[in-house]
Amino acid sequence: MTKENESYFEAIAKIIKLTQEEKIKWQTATKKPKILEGIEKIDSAYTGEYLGKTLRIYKVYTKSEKPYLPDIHTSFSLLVRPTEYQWTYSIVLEIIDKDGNVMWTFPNLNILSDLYEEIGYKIAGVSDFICELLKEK
Amino acid sequence: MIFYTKQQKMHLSQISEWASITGAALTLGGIVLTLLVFLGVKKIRSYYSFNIRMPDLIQKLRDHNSSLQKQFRDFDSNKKDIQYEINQIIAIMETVEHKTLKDLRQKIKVFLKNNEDLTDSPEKETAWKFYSDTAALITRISELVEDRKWDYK
Repeated sequence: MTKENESYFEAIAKIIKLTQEEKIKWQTATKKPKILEGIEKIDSAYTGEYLGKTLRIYKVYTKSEKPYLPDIHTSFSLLVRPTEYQWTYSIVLEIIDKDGNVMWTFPNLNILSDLYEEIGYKIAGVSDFICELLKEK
Repeated sequence: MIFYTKQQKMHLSQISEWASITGAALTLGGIVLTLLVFLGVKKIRSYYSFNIRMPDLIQKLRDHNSSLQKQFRDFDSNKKDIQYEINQIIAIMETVEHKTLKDLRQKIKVFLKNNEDLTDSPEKETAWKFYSDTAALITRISELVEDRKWDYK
């Protein structure tokens, strides 16, 4: 991992911090990311602005062939085995222009899951909801 | 009583000399073989302890680090929980340090040294730095585990 990659971790941690402090306000994205139909599916996408840049984050599910590990019992059926698929997801954070075109994409790092979850937490207003809920008699 | 001629005696002493040399050589071979088996077992043990235990430790690190970040939402009220998560991460990192390879072990050592004093009520900025450093280190460890998966195949 390069020094540059390490600074991405700091940058994303800073975006999480700014999200918690509500210095970056996120909203549901109006311009959805482009996907490959049938192979990709998008979960909620959000956009936020900071330092004159528009950030977009979303969860993308990608369909891929399931790796097959034959064992002694199943190896005979290898030839007639139907192809099995699986959906795996990743979180994408990118900088977009005003038309929603991607200008640059952050590397796929595990810390992005925390950012995505944090944004969901803020947008859903979970904290306020729990406070209200507990106040109610 | 058996009597040997001088020639027979010489022959017998030669045989016993050879027997003793062969015995010594076999003993030495046995020791070398034992050492090789010992090293082999050690290598297999370290392979399994790395490839089987590490994914579980990485998952635990990820969970504690994510949980740490969630505690930052209300930093002052959650100081105890923050301290708990930091202690957990440090404890797991110490376990990982003994199971990993030399170059990464050095990085973990530096990480632990840098965060030696963090366990006593950390400041907000320091805790955030700890969070991002941990995330970076987890990625390094995961990459190493992925690379080593193919070592014995």
